[in-house]
Amino acid sequence: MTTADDAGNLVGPVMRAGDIADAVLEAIQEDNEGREVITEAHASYIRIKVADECFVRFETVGDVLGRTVTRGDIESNMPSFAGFIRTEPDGIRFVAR
Amino acid sequence: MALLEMHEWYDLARDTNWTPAYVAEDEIFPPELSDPYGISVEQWETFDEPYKVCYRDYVETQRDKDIGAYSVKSALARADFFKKASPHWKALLALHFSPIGFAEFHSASAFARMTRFSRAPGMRNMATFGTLDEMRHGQIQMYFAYEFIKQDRVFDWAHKSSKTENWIIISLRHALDDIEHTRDAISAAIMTNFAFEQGFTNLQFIGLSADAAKAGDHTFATMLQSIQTDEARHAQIGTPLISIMIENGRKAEAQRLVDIGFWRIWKQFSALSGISMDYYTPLEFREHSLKEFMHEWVVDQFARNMKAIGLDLPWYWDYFLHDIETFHHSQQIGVYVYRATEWWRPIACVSPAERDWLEEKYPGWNDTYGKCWDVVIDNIRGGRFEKTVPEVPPLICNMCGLEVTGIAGVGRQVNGRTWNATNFHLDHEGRRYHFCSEPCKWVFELEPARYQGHRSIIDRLLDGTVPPGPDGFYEYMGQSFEERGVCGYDYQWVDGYDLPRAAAAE
Ligand SMILES: [Fe+2]
Ligand SMILES: [Fe+2]
Repeated sequence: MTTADDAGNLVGPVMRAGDIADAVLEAIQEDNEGREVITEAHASYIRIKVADECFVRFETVGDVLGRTVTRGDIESNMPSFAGFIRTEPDGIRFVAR
Repeated sequence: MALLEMHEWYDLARDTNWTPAYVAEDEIFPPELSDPYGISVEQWETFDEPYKVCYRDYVETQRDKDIGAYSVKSALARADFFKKASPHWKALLALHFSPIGFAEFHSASAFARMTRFSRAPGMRNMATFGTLDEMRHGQIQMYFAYEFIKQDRVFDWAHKSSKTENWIIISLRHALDDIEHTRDAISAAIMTNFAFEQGFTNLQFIGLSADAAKAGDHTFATMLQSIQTDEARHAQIGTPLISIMIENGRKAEAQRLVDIGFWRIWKQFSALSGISMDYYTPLEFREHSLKEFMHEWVVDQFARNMKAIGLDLPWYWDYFLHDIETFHHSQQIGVYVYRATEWWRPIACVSPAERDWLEEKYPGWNDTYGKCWDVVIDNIRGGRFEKTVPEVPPLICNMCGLEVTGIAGVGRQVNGRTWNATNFHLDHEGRRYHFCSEPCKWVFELEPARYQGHRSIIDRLLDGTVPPGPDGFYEYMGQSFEERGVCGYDYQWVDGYDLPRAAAAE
């Protein structure tokens, strides 16, 4: 049985499946270098998990998609996240505490 | 003209507290509504929104969310998805839309109260957006349900249910009134934003969206997740509040609020999401079981947050872990056999193949809940349909308003199986109160004055509140003859057990 400790300190967004989700995943891999990025795909959403801290930079997501990406674009496609959120001027940070 | 970036003006614009000159502070912010915990305004002003948004961005983002969800709906409307949907999916949609739609509108008033009475300017900001969010949730779900009315009158209940005294609605209203609508702004926010929204809404609005996507109901799947993107933001009100409470020596109070709210909402979601995921979702579209979704969203994701902000797991955690594997199974039996008391067409969902799935996900199911279903199946196969409906009303919990049922695997032995149908009860000021579980009883005992005046549907039946006569009970619950649930498969679901169709049609 899962206990509250099993997932360790994995944090990160839960994205609605689609092109923004794919771009966010790519951007996270790029901006969280040297850290393992774990994904868990479900029928309508994808969980992206990084240990302790995970940063999503709007500009990187935009580079992947080839268009401007705003905070709102991320919010509209992010129904949940693991850990705690910190909104920053150029992106969104998820932290274990 | 170049506009300033949000982070350049946010802190300054947020600072909306001032010292009143014409009235006393306590008159603007009465402690019983603003802060019964006696925490200083300077402390409340440290509330820093974890998820910041400004009004300009908010409006733009919300508009885009609505355009997204409504355009999926109109693009797929012609597909006539609903007409072709199975009784399984129709029951699932009815179970979602009818209790939830209007409850969301009501949530707007809870957020509005937080907006008005919180002493933390940052919280007032977030709650303002939360108020608007919940209006949107009421509107979008009412509108999406409305589409089905021309094909199925059951969906009238998306609007109607909250105005009735139907037993399921009484149960839901009691829970939501308790945590959202009848407490001060701080307590209500900790219970609503943290225990309820962070704790449980993901289950129904993301977990179930996976089932919906598999079932090809992309309109429903998109709507659910669109709503949840708002929840992900405004549910964050709870976290800084709990931190401020803990820093100011109020951990015990915060813990208690979370423990009450979490339990009360668990009972609601156990029935709502439990029946939806483990029964009403057609077998081939089930992404996970309730238990698996509960472990993903609650036992893992949410419980970690509880510990990380300095709270403990609720005292009833072990019991809760058992409850997520059991309670909804017995509720599903009750919902099916007392189907006339519900406005939709309940279905059993225990065909041989579905039982195999239940046994795999919940080892021991066949030997416990399955035995109860065997009796129902046997009666249907024998054409004794009247015997599938109990003659006596059930015992209803005086806290959660759901049926007091046997819980497999807990308590005393019956026929070689462990089976607990204990009625936790309490005698208080001359009357006996019944509870389904220790935590429901515990909540009552914490504050009897808050709960003792509430009368369950069964109390109302016994004290004459419900008018007599064969129709009195249903009319009291807002159900005309046509609005009383019948088996959604007209009993033909037992065909899998080799019943000749002709016998079932009799
Ligand atoms: Fe909502
Ligand atoms: Fe909400």
